[in-house]
Amino acid sequence: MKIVIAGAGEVGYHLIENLCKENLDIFVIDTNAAVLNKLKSQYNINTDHGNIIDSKYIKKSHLKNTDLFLAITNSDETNMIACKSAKEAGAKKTIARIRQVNLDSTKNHFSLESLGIDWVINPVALVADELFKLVLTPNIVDNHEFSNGTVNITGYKMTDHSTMVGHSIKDIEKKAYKLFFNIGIVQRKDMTIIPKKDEVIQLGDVVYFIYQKSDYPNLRRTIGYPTSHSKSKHVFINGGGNMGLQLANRLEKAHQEVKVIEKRLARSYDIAEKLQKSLVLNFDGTDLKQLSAEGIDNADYFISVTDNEQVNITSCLIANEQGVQRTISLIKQPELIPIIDQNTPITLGISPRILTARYLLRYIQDTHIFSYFSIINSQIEILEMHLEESSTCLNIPIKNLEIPENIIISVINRNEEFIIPDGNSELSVGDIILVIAHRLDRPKAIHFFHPDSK
Amino acid sequence: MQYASILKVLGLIIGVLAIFLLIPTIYAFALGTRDFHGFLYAFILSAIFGGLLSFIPKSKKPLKFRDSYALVTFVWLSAAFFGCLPYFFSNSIPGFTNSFFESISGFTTTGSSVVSNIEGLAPPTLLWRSLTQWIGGMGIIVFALAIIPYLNIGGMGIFQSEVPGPTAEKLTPRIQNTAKVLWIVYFLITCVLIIALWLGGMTPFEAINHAFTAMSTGGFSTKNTSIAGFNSPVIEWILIIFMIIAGINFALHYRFLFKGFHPKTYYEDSELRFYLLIIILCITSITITILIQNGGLPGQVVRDASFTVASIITTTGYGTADYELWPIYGQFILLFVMVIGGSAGSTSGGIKSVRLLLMLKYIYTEILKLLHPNLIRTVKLRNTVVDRNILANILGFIFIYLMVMVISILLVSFECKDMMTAIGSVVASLSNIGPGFGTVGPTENYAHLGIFTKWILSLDMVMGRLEILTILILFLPSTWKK
Repeated sequence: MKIVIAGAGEVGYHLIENLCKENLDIFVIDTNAAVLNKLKSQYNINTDHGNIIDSKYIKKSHLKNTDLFLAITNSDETNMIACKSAKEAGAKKTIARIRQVNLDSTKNHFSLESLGIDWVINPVALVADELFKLVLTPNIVDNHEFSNGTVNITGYKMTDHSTMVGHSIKDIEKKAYKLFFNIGIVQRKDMTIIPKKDEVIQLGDVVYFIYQKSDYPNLRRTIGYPTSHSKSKHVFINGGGNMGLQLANRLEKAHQEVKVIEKRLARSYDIAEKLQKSLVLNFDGTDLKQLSAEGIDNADYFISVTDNEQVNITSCLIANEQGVQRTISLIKQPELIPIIDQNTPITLGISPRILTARYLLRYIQDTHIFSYFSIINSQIEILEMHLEESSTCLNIPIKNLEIPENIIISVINRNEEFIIPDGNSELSVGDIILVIAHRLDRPKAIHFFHPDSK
Repeated sequence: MQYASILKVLGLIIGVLAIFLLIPTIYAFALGTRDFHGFLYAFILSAIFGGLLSFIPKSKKPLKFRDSYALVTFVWLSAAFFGCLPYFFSNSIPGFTNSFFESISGFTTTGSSVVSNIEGLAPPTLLWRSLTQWIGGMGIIVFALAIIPYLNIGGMGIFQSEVPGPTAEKLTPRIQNTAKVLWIVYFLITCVLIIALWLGGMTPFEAINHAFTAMSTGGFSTKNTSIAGFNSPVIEWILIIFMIIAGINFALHYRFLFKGFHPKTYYEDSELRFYLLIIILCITSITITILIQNGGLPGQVVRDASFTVASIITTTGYGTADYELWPIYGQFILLFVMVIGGSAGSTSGGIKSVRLLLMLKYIYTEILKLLHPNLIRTVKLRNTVVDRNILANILGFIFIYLMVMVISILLVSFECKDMMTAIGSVVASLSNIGPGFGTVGPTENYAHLGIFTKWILSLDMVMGRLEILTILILFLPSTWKK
């Protein structure tokens, strides 16, 4: 698989670091020769120096036979033109990083296809989305949709409110009205466990459930979390940049009580225009007096998303000191995240680079894998595969199949029917299966279910 | 001041008025009524006057803002003057003061009359009364802009000073087309109302007259007892609906009728929602009060309350029930809605509900700022920010409106015998309603008031129609300096 990446900036660097672990031909183009040299010496990749949209530097041959073209430079315009030229040079799929332009396809006067862009990635929107989910569904750690959204995997953090803590999976399954979910993976501290039926759920575990989307309310009931969020939450957002604005906008639409703190007066007026119900407050987010005057002690969340890491960390620490239970800080450098999470009272550090890289990795995959999901900080992943006639594992009870070690068929989706397989289940043509496997075992898994693959 | 340009435009507009005068003149000739010579003289006089002025050579200099304010005022005063001539010459209405009062009450869509026996007037005179209201409703200048290409000079200035509300909306890039479009919408809805009233049981003549005066929120009727004279619930309900429609911003009607019939156009408009909310609240509370204190048949009371509230808030001024017999609480609600009026960009008068809405939002913001000293918040209408200048302008407008009201009440009270008459007549004139309280209530008229009072009220009517500032600007000495 040949991948061309234009732009070795913040996101690019982190992405390349992750991609190098795969068996891929990576080609990086950037205007900064020093960064390219560093990358070349560190990783097994090829690079070219020059401006991606300047035909003098970039030869067409570089773009030929490209499976995936990623335009992630800092300029929206460059990314758009780069995607267009890559598409015309024969790239199969293109992804553009676009930050400023509102690309809501229903409101645009042009289509993305006409620009040669297959997917758009917007790091600011990604982070805002992530933060939004964290506030609205605090116990959900991660979520992914398979089979066009009919099957979900959701990771729940087990808190005091959950009725599952202290019970074994066997008990939990017995208590449910029917077996509608599969507990595929449990994460405990630094360990990732593929649990047996007698595994006991402990406080603080992150449990990954695979279930049909329509069963979502049942799942929440089974876990012991209420389905509706009747009480609106009081959220402080420090920093009225694009990220803060997008987050405030989504939260107020979901009827949450939002206060946005912004230091710059002119920007405060800007965001006050764009927000409806949220209160925009003009002071420094590290000003203790002002924060307590605005009732920080009653806040449910304090989220700091200014451009300055020190300000984010400081203001979160102040909020913690004032009694805010959940504080989230935007951290640019991915290396700092574990330090923040483990050594400070700040609940969570969130990095746009990690989120973006993780999102992009979902598009970089084998043709036999329709969709995949990797557990945070872990090598375990879940692969979605569609079974074809050439597969040798059809119509044989699963217990008789010689499935390689550490590969588990988690669920089968057969014509919208959701099946949790046991030893006697059989696979048939057209089935969509979700397979849990270690990242290194992925080629084995693909080969087993698709013997004709290379 | 660019007197030459102003006079030329004035001449052209008087010419247009002459053409309108031709309609009742021909009608009177055909019927052979006694007011024919009055209309003929008025037509000849205005045609000559307008013709002479329009021969003034075209000036190359564009009109400045102060010129357009002066122009607008002169246009309205001369329209009232030439419009009163038929009454004066034919002696349908005795005396010049009375004729002028009736005429300006027509053009400003006030609808207060000095005629006691309306049914005694000849049909052409009745038609002319209704016609003055219909022209004045959407605006003389807006009409002139739509049909005279030469008026392409003052641009937004003169348009703005005639369309009621804090800001006039341009519906099309060119002001001429906007004026045209507004008149087309106005004309179409009037036609629908004529047919509806005719089907509802009026004669075609009555239907045309009442459609003219309802769509312009004027309120002249062809009956002595106004709409009560028809004694028909169907006609009343038709008028309730169309009066409320006339009190809505015509820009919304235009978008609905010409941009694909989306009901969203209406229910997404915050001013309209506020306007309807006021109407519903007033109708409900008045109905309940009457039922508790005075009693009566619920159906009848609901209809009377709805009709009166619609008639007063849109500043039409038709009457069915004598609201002076209602409980005082109900009368105070009416006094309150008299001052508010309909929506901006409609044919109604008063402060306009959008101004009240913006002030309420502004006050809410100020209170919120007391709680949060660092709060940054802007007042928004239809999801767009309202400029601070506009808010200051509205505050000033409401203050001046009340000042003019108080001073007028003072002046009027020289000749008035009771307080309710003084207050009622001024409020009803300034908000262009018609019937007030006391001796100018819904069952009485303005004939008995003194000459001085009548002139003060005439001035109030023009001030109310042109939203005061246009007129006040002429009292500043610097407006008249070179």
